[in-house]
Amino acid sequence: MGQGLKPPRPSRWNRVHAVVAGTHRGDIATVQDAVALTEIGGSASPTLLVAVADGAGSALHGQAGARLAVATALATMRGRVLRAGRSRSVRSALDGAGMARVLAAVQRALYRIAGPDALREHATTLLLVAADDDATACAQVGDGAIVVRDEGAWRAVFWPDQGEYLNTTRFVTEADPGLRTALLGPVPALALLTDGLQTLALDYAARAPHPPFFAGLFAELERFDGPVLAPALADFLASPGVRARTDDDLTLVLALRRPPAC
Amino acid sequence: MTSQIPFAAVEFAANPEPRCPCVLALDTSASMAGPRLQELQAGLSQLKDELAADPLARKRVELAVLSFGGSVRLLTDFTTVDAFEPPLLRADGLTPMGGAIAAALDLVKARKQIYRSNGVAYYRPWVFLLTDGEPNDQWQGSAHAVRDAEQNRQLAFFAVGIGDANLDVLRQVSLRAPLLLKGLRFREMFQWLSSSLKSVSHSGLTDETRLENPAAPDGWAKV
Repeated sequence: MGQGLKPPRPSRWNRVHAVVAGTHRGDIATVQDAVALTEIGGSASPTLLVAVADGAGSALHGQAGARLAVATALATMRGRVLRAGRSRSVRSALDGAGMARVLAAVQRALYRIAGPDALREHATTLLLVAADDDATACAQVGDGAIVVRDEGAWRAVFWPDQGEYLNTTRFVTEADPGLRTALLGPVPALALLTDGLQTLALDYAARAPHPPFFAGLFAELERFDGPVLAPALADFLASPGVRARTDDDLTLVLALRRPPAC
Repeated sequence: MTSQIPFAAVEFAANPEPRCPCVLALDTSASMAGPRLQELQAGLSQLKDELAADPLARKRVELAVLSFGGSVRLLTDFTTVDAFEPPLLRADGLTPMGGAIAAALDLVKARKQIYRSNGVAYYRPWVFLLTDGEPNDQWQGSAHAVRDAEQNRQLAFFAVGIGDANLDVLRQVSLRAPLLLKGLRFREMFQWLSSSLKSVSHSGLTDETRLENPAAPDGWAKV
């Protein structure tokens, strides 16, 4: 009110994401991965919120579960940041306890649509990131990875939780889903990926991200705007080179912090 | 240097392919001689061919073959499908099933150790036991070990009886209900095995694959 026609603040993050369907379920061409992201602008410290979920392949409603999980998580994270007083800070709204509340909201939402009997059929993993200029809050249930650039090096915030075997993990629908949370300082770049990309993006022997994978991706984000890159990212995930290594659903979110304007 | 196509220059981690190990423990006692053994032999070749035709399964599925007829023999140690040659089976002697099961469990344990020390991701190992008789050795200890291992999710154990196989024994070995092969439907059985291993090895994803029910009316087995 009374602020006149201020030009919209440019987004603090250059970001791009793509979700491509796997080729492993020949008959059912549904994607079990889901993504939701938004930026809360206008405040002193604009905030990027991202949620990624991978519905269980064996669950009847893995897709519905994943979609509801990311929508609920995003809305809950947003509400907590907006209600966090003048500071609107991620550090106070989405620390470990805050992220636990977000997970609880996701579990309640799934329970509401599924009831006790069908809860398992909505099983999904969950990756959450909230980043402002002061802090980066991360939370994870199950596999997939959140990768951040930290003092010049790529780092997986958590190692994928997949138990002993490649095809087993934990889900938000479990009684104790093993939520892991971390509150980091501000990061210049971050990525979220679902388990289909793990063997390409992570070095299992080193238990760390594979630096050339992320360097190659972010090099493009340095050159182009996210919306321009989106189709190319989807093409890349569907390319023969990637498909020779995995036929799972693939989700990749990349966000690169822009230099502060003027 | 920048490429024209975005992301064309992205390099992947050189992780070894994840492995999906499967032990075939095959009864080659004297009673298997004749058509049974011939069909089993043909089924092995078919299993190899079907898995080899699948680009991911051929790199990920590892087969090992144990025979138990007279004595327990490791005919083929774990090898990926593209290098797997079906061993020649010969029927002879009694049925040391307990020894074969113990050997299969040891084989799986040792393989996991190798995976772990090499940073190779893996799926839950399968042991697939096939018999037309009943054990003539001490098998209760092995049965106990299988049930333990299955309960602790160390492996998935499948038992299939042929002809007059003693299903009561198999029931005590396997937590999963043992199956009885209909007639000599080895081909259908191995087809089921290959498609099951294919879907497991493709499942790069988050959980256990649903298997087709082999005991469906048109399946190869009855319970």
